Amino acid sequence: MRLLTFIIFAGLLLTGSSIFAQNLTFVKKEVSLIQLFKEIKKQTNFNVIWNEGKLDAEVTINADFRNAPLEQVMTTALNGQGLTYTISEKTIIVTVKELSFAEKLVKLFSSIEVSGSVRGEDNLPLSGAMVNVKGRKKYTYTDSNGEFKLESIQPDAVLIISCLGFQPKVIKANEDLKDLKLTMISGELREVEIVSNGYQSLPKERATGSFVQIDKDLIDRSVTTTILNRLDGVSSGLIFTSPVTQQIGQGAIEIHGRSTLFGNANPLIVLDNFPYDGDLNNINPNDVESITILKDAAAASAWGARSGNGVIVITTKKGALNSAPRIGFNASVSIGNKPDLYYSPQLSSSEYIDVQQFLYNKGAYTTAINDGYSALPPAVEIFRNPSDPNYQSKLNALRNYDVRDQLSKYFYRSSINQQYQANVSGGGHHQKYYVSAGYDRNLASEVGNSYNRINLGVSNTYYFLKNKLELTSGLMYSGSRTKNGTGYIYNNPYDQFADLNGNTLPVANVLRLSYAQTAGNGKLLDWFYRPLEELRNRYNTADASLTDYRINLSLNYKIVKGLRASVLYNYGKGKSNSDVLHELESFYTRNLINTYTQIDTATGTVMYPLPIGDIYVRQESNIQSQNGRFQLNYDRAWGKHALNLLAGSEIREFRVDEAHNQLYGYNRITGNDQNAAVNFKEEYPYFYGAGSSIIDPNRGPIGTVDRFFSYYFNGAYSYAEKYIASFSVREDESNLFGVTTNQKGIPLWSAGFAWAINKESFYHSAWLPELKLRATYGFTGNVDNTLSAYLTTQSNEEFINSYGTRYSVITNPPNPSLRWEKVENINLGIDFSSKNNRLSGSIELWEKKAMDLIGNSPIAPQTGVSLFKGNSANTLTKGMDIQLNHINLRGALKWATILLYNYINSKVTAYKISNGKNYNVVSANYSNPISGFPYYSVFSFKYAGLNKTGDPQGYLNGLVSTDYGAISNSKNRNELIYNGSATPTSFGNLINTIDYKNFSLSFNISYRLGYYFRRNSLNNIALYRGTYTFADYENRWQNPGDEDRTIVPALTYPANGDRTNLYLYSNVLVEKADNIRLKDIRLSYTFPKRPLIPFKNLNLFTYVTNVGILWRANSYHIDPDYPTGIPLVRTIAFGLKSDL
Amino acid sequence: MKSIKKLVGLSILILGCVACKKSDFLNKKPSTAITDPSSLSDFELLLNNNIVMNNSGGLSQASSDDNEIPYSTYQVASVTERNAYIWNKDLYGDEINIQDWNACYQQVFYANVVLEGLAKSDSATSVKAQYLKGWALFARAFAFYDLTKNFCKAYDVSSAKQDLGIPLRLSSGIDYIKSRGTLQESYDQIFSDLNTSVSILPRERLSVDLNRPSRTAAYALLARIALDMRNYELAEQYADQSLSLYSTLIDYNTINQTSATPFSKTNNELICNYGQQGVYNYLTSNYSGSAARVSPILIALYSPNDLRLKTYFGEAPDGRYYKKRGYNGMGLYPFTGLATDELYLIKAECLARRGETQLAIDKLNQLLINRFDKSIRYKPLKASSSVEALSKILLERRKELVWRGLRWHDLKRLNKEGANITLTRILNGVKYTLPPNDARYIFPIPSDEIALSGIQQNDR
Repeated sequence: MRLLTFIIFAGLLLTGSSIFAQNLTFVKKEVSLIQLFKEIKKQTNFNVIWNEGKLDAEVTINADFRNAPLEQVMTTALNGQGLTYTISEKTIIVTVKELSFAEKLVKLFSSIEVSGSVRGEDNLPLSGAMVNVKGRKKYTYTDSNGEFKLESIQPDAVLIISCLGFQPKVIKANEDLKDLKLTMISGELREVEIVSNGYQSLPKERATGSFVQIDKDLIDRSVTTTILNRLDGVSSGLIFTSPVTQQIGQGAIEIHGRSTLFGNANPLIVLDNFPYDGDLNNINPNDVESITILKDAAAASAWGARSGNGVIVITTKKGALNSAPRIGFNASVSIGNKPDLYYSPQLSSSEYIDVQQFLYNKGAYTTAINDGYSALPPAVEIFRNPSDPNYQSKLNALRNYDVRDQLSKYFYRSSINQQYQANVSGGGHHQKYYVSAGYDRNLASEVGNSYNRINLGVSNTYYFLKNKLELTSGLMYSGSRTKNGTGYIYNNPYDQFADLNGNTLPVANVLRLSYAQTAGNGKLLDWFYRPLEELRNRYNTADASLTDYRINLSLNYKIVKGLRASVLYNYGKGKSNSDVLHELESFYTRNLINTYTQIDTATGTVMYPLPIGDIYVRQESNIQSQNGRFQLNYDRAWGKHALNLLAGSEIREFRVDEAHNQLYGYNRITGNDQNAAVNFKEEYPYFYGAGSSIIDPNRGPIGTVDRFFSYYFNGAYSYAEKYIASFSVREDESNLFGVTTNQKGIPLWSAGFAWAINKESFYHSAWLPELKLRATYGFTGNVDNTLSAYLTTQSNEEFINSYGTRYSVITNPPNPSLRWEKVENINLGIDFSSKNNRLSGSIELWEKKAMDLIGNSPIAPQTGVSLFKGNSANTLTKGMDIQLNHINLRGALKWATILLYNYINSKVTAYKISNGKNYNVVSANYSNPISGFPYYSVFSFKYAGLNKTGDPQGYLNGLVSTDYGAISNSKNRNELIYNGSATPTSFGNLINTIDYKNFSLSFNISYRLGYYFRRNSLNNIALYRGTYTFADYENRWQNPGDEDRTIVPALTYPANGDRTNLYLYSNVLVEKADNIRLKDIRLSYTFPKRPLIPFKNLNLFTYVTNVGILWRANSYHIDPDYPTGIPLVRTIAFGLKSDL
Repeated sequence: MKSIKKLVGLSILILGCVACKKSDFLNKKPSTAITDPSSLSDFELLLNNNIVMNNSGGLSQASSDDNEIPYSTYQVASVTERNAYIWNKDLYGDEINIQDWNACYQQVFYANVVLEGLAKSDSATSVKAQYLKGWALFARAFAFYDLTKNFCKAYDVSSAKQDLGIPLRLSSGIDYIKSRGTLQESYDQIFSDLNTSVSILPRERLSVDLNRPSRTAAYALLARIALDMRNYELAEQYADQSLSLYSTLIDYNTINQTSATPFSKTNNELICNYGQQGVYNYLTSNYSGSAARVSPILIALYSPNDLRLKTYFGEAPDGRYYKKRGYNGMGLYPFTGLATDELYLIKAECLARRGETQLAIDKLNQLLINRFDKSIRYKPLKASSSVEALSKILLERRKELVWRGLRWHDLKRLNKEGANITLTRILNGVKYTLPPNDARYIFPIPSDEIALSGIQQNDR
């Protein structure tokens, strides 16, 4: 059949050419075919007809016809377009040329492979430029070197090269098209940034809200195991909080300040369209394409009631359509310094022995000595035997020990974290894919602690029905294993757990060594505690494994132009096991068995209520989340109008089931236990002392379910790209326990407006060609499902009373007026960019008014409840975010700077219940918020120095006083000094990046200003209770006259709590926390492409974090984030990244 | 356009389906561990919480003259414990969350939750519901009485309508404050609760779950309270009623006197088990390692063949005595519950007070015969007058009910009757005294309660 057709067509071709004799004269450059055809009609009266779909009549030719026959004119005109013509009567019909077999053959053999490269004006490669074969559905994109390759291209084909922000270039195909240069569309060299809020993606120009986008380059700038840490220091409006305030309940990350008091303060994490409640450690940072941080109501109201603390939207990598498989991989190793155990000041061993001597003389150890078994400090053992001829030398030996020397030697090491990841991505016409695998291996700085993780991910997108139907499926797997040892907490600064040869020594922690040695006369298990033996044998190691699957499915259907319907479903399942095996050989197990062992004094019979064997503690938790969403999107532009609408509903369940049990008499080889032989109801007296207890059954399941149901609508309208208005509304309901249905939900809404001033006709700034103003207003929320309007009780299998029957406890007093927390947001922003983008950035002003916050209120104890949680507080937080990007140098040496500046001013505006005495305010202001001051504030007692006897003096009723009880109990806040915020009020980063040839150097300086911390000093109470980790022992008042040179009070015995606290919480110990640090340095080298190297973009880097503090306001050399404890260590990473 | 209509139709259908199931979906309990108590067994679980319900305050034991501690121990004790020991005017220093007050009101809260829940229950008239109601009323009365005797003046019929009482919280809502009312009102409430419970609690003393009250226990508590109020007529009636239901005594000859824990928590004299809260451990916990020693004056009261000496007390290495554990088995802190021995003593005292000398002394001998070594023939006590009988009974009360949290209140009561007992202590060379009827016999109300509710403080 085909052959026949071919013959007929060939015949037509051959016969058609001789039948007309009309001539044309037309000479004109760049004339379009339509003009030519008009000329033919005019001169010859021949009509030319064609199918618009087949012939592009706008194609221009250079006409040079001088009395040329029509057939010659037509042949010339249609040359290279695959068209032919027939002439019948006075009509020329243009048709598609059917090729002859021979022609096809010729064409096949004459097709060429075109390759080339595309560069911008600055001669830098342009990646992502589209290379399109004119008239054919064939195209490709340039890679990151600006290179492209197209196969089977006709030699006469025309290529159109286009790239956003550049003038398209049309060029005839050629085998080698090197360095095609594109010229910028004046002043518009800018990628279109797409903002995703997890529901929809909008061009940045069309957004009214406040957000920060962190792209892949910034994510990859640092080297961490977890994804969120990579936001540190690079995102405006977001702070990684200090460990000091984290200890008192501040979330690790805070976006635009705190908008809750005692509720959940963590931002909502959205991973690939759905809230993520699993362990964030499960996400491999190398799989992440971009992160968007939504800071205000406009963006966050899309996420409703859980968005009050901001939203972090994480989007993972996907493949690209029509691209060859691409293999990427990266590997890195980070080495951390050994932790500095000597950082925190403490009493020297010698000083502490003097303190113990003093306490011994006062009889402070008498009770412990008399009971016969309580552990005694080694020095006290020596004091008890003053006639020992080696008394002094034994003491002197202890004076020279420092337990931290041994601890550092045996228990700590350099941490080593390795990270590997490989991925393949690509796509065809109707499908794209991304497959990845990652492996992490971390050895923590504590000997024996490790973390391993494997990540696998597959994502596929398919297009059906002429690309109208899009199906995306994603599967993520993460498996990790954490091993943590128990470490060793020493009791005395001179404790020794190893001798000079590294042999283990027993230390007294619970029991006196002499008692441990002799108790039971050989009828008990060894009762010594040898920390080093525990470490060497890895006893009591907690072994936690975590497996997490996440399946995403989404169907997207284009119903008609502009209207899309989508159904999304997400299923997540995580399982974590946390097992601790306390080996029979471990002190934990030996001690527990011995403690319960009963020896009949008369018969000598030994009874073991707790069977001999290992103790295996198992904890399992299963997490299951399901999300479903149905959504309609409508996007339409006509004339100067553009409309984006979406409406949908969402249903969500997050379920956690936990079970734990404890197996006694466990055999780690057979897996058998002897729990059946244990009497969990009987109360047994301890072998020593007077205690007694039942054996802890430690078992019981517990399950929690959070459910949400939401409807939402979101709309944006823009006019002439100048005015953009947006509106969103969302109703969330949850299974908040015991409230009536109308209180289960909360409607949240926001409205926004943006004005692109630069698009106005009156705006003619050559210096600042881009200027946009935007504003949003709206409400976000927060919910605490642990509370209930009902009185609730709790009970499980462990709640057994002393008569062996089950009981319950009241966990929540009734609260009929319980409702959701609500946050009102106002946001104003300016985005701008100077000519050629040399300076660009944004300035934002924001305000958050949080209402109905769940507050802890002390309540009169006569109610039977001492603390009450309810909607009781309001806060007001105001702030400013500035981000400036400046290109300092362009050319061979490039230098760019990013400056981030954030300002926050927050205060509690209402706290209904009157709060405690002044001591409660200075010691724990956050649980006693005071109206008018920040939630995290530093308050202090006003200090009047020492009196003649070394006693600290404060103020009472305006007069110098030593009435410590009255000072502490006073409720007159005017007697307190407000030092300032405990969290930074100004903070940000300065990131400089310098590129030269293939080298790139970047360093990040972070600064935190306008906050305060309390320095640690001599604590009389704690010192006499066995703590010695303080500064200033040597500076204490000792002799009359010392009051002129020191502020540290004399020690008193017994210690007086109020007297101690007056000094510890006085203004003299409050320091400015302001500091500037060199957060990190990154140096990388990208290998130029060489034919011999099989890699593309081979990039080697080294990255150093926690480089050092450049400046700090305090003069004590204290890291204000770590006034005590061990500060973060410096780490250095090496790595490489490449594509194959 | 047709497809749009179809789709909109479909989506309305889906949303509709979801919405109609929504209320079920959102009614799911957020945690399996929490319960909105509504069933009888839910209430039973609450009352069964003996960690909350079956304890009483410890200040009176810490302040009493049973015990002595060395100065070195005194120095490491908590502020409140130190102040209680020397009867300091300022008792709590900077300490808040005083369990003597808070824990009792927590019991009142639990009891009120149960009482309100039972009232709403469909099966409120069932036997079990009645039992639980009696239990909750008993628990509330026990707590109210513990608060009253610690934080109010000793009862005096002439001034009880003016003296301050305790806040009588009768509903579980936490959104209201109760003021103190009068002492008479407090006692009226206690009697009202107990009289109701007497009528609905089961008669028999339980043999195992002795954290639960019985009618025997309710009468025993009424007897204790009436005695404390110096209403001896009433006290005798209640003691009779209790003893008529259960009167078993333990023969101490059967007790292992070398044991550190001579009694079990289900011992035969025990009627209802309450213990002192685990606070003030230096002064009130009773075990060999404690530095607290029993006052030698008290030890000297026991004759050598009195088995109580070896049963109650252990000899410390320093030759002095410490208190061993008592009627609550392994419990480290004093037993403060109800037992038959106390009822024998109440009965005997009441008899003596109404001039029944012989009956009184007989009652006392019924008890004592179980306390003396049987290998030596017991010589019954004799009294020639009711005054002599009373003084012997009170002496035996002192020796029998030691470390039971009762001594302080006996001192309050007896001094009110002119016993004129002055307490003295010498600590680190300093002598402290507490004269009879001193205001310091009444503990101040904790400062956090005063601050948060504004109720009236005691003069101390």
